Amino acid sequence: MAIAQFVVNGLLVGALFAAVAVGFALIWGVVDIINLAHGEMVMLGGYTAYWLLSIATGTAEGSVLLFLATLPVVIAVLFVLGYVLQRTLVSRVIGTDIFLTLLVTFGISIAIQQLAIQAWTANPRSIQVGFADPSLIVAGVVIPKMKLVAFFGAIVLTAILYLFLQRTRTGRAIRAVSQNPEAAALVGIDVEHTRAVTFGISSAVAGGAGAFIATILNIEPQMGLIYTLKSFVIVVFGGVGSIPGALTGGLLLGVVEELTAGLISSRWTLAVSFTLLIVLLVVKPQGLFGTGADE
Amino acid sequence: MTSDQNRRTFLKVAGSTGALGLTGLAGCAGSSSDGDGGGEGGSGDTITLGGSMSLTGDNADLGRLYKDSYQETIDRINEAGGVEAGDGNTYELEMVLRDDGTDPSTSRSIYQELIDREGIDYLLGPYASSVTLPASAVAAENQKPMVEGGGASPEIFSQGNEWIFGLLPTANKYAKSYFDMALEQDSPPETVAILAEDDTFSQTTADGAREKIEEEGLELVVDESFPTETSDLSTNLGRVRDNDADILLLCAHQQHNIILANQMESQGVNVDAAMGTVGSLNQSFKGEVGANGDYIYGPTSWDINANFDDPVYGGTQDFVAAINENYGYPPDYHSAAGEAVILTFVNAFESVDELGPTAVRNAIRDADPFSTVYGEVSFGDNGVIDKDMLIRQWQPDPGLQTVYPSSVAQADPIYPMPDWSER
Amino acid sequence: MSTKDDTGLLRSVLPPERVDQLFDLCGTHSWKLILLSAVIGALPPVFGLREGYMMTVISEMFLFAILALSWDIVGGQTGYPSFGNMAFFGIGAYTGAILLKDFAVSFPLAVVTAGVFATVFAAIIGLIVLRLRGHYFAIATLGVLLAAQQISRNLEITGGASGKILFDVPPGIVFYYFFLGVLVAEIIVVYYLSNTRFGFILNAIRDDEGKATAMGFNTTYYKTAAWMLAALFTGLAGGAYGLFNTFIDPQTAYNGAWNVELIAMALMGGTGTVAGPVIGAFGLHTIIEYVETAFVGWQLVLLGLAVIVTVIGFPKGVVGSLREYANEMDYYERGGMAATDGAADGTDAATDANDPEVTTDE
Repeated sequence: MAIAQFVVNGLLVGALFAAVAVGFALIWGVVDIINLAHGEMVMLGGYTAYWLLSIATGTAEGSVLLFLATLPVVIAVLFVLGYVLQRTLVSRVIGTDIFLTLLVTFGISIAIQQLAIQAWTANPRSIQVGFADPSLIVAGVVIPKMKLVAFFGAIVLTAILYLFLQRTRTGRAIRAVSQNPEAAALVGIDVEHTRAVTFGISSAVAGGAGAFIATILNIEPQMGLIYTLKSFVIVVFGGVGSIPGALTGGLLLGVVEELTAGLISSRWTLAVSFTLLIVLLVVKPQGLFGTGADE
Repeated sequence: MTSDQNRRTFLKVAGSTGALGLTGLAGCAGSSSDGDGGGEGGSGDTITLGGSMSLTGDNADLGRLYKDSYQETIDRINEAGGVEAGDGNTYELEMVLRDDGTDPSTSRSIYQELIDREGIDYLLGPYASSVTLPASAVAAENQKPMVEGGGASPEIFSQGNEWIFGLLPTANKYAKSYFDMALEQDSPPETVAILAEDDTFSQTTADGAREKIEEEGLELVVDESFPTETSDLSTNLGRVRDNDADILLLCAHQQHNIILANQMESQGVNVDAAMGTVGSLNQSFKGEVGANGDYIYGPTSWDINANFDDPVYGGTQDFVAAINENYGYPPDYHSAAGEAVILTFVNAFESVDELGPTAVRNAIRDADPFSTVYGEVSFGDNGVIDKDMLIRQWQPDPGLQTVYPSSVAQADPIYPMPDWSER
Repeated sequence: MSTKDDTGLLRSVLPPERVDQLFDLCGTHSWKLILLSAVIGALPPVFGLREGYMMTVISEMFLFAILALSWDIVGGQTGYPSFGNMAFFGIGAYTGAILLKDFAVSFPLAVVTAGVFATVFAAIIGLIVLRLRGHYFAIATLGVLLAAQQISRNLEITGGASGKILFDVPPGIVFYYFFLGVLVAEIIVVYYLSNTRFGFILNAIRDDEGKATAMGFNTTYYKTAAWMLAALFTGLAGGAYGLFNTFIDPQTAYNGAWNVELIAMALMGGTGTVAGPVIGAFGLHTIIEYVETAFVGWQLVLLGLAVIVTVIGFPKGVVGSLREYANEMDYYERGGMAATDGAADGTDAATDANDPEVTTDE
């Protein structure tokens, strides 16, 4: 029974990791950029939701519906931010040496972190979502209700992203650019714009995940790095550019970490994750799930 | 091809020559332009205190408490005419405060810079034990006294360093009063759970707790460490629940206290008492967790409601009012320890015949106990203040209360804390 | 992103042919110049540099130059951008600290052992990660760094999260000459190698590994050797660092921020050269020291902006840009077209020059 609880804990938090990682995988796949500032988008999404709720209610507390109402704004704000970052900075290093792209996004990451500290102090914050009865107990397994909401929220975000890429005109343009930018340009796709939209969407989804993270865990200016690192592991699990792969990878990482915490010790969770990262990269660099070229 | 090769070669070599040469020059210039620093002869009419603090980074919120407290205290002293030192002169105080971002690899050069460049003889310690260790080594090498209110690892004081003085009880004492308090209750605990972040400070706190648990014959049913980056404690809290621990101790900082309070509620973890070691008594903690923070305990080396005499502010309550008024938040023990850091120096300046690092160090070491807003200050042989922690608890009404020891308690602890279903 | 006006002014003060001549001059006297710089570097303490602060700052400059130059052996010369070099540093630092503290080994022996351990570690890890390229290599090396850090946090021998305290410290001058000595030795080795077949093959791997393999070179052997060389010098530096800083813990020994800093140093000075990383290390460390005291609370914002501006504006770094500038003469001499356009705009040039490497992702 204990193992069931660990697995559930892992799945609940893993969905959020997945929602963070899908955007990371998307940028990597489409723009060929590893965005080291991706975790900062999660952080900014969390803060946007936090401040919206604070303005609306005076404290960062509210009902589930009120919290969910902030999500469209969070997503819009982060989309614009991602779009602008790509257009102004990241576009300038596309196609150059990879460590240049890594350095640029790293520069963005540390600058945003410190600006956030200057603006909002380093105090950790969290959004309180009230429930009369905070948890469900199913067959002896405790499931906090807000975590369940966040779990489904993260899955829905990921699903919307997937459908968007599959079904819409912009989505097709994104996929075309990811497969062959030159050919995409030839058929009249504005490659630069499409890449920026990709960056925007990726940031928006990360921001949405950040808002959920603010409700079940907490947010602080320097939280981003660990989410970026987890995204690495997840994308390597699932394969670059693959949305279903990232979702599965996220859930899997959550479960692996909680099983490590539960069966061995929580002190080894990160060591296990990072070692797994190296092993997987070497053994199966195309990801656990096929070629990683689903998109 | 040959000329290309030569050109490449040149750049490689020219660059390193230039760079090495330049630093060489900079080095010479640096050493020749700098005199023997100020302070020693007391020729000026200011004394400068210098140090670094966590002004950015994870601990910037705590660093700010020290900075504000230092500044307020120094301003007040200067407004009142300055320090009347034992050498018969009156000095204004000045402060130079650098930022170390809680990075142990920067503190060494920062403190050397303060000593060599700024000519500072009297050092204010940084925040966090890992930063204080290298800083205290610099103080010892340069024979400058350092007084600190932000590093509590016993390792700092077990190196035979005679130049460092600490105002916080060492980390291994942080949790002791909590157990003493719980054991005095009507249905004392039998089993304990410890969750500890894996940083120096928290691990030392946990070590101290383990010793105490052994001494008192309690049973340690959960003993888990987790990486600082961990943002979810559910699985560990599940352990606490499954093992029926009577009381819970979280050795960690504010971030994890917030997670603890929220997840105890959402996971339905019921214990008789729960304490977080650092950051659980801050207003910002309670602000983030709301009612979930009720009944949580925290240790403090200082009671905000106490009334100690103080030469600068008058008394503890005047200090509390001053910080509240000028900075918009109530001070906590970090703030009060910061005030005592400044007063430790002032007290020594007043008692020496001639100002100088060695004389001041001796004066600090040999000082009779003196009163500050922080309480009575005197240092043991190892340089640490002899103090035990008080325990405070968030009570639903009227709020944060000192509950232990009973000699200073404002209220009895609400023990055991009510189950989540009864709130 | 230099404009025509900038180059116009620069052109009148320092014409490219003059730079070109300087290149040739120094090229023919390279060994003398290395010797001269070593002597100049050794002089300040002789002439009365006693200040602890300057001593520490210059020692740290030497230290960062060692780290940046080591990174460049693999990242710049061979085209394998490692984000995990600090793992070698950490292994070295812990080896040194444990030997000094727990086994009372002498300082020189501890440092040498640290270098050896780091090299052996690199050999083992290299066999695994050097099979990867591009993004995958970068991430795998970062993974190595993070895993090593986590493991050190949880082991008994490393002192866990509390790390190692080494209070019995020799005077600063010891470290000054130690780091200088390692740096000079490294400059000599790297410079010597860059003019040998070994250096040529490393560059061939960077430019097109497939082709290098096709030419019959055992690229795995050369990559691993370069990687171990980088680890040796990084490990030596790490071995002394614990004592230099009087304290190491997992955060300090496996400092991820330093890893990025030293890449930025190599980049700003000019990757793929010997002088570039050294110049970059000295320059950036000076700037960081200054910014930390002058702009408290904004240093990361400024560092971030500096990195972004360098990467976007001058991806070839100081030495690379200068070289390009001097190379204009060749274009003129050859009656080349578009001489100014090609060299004046660093971004274009870099994009062109680096194109082959981009396509090597698998």
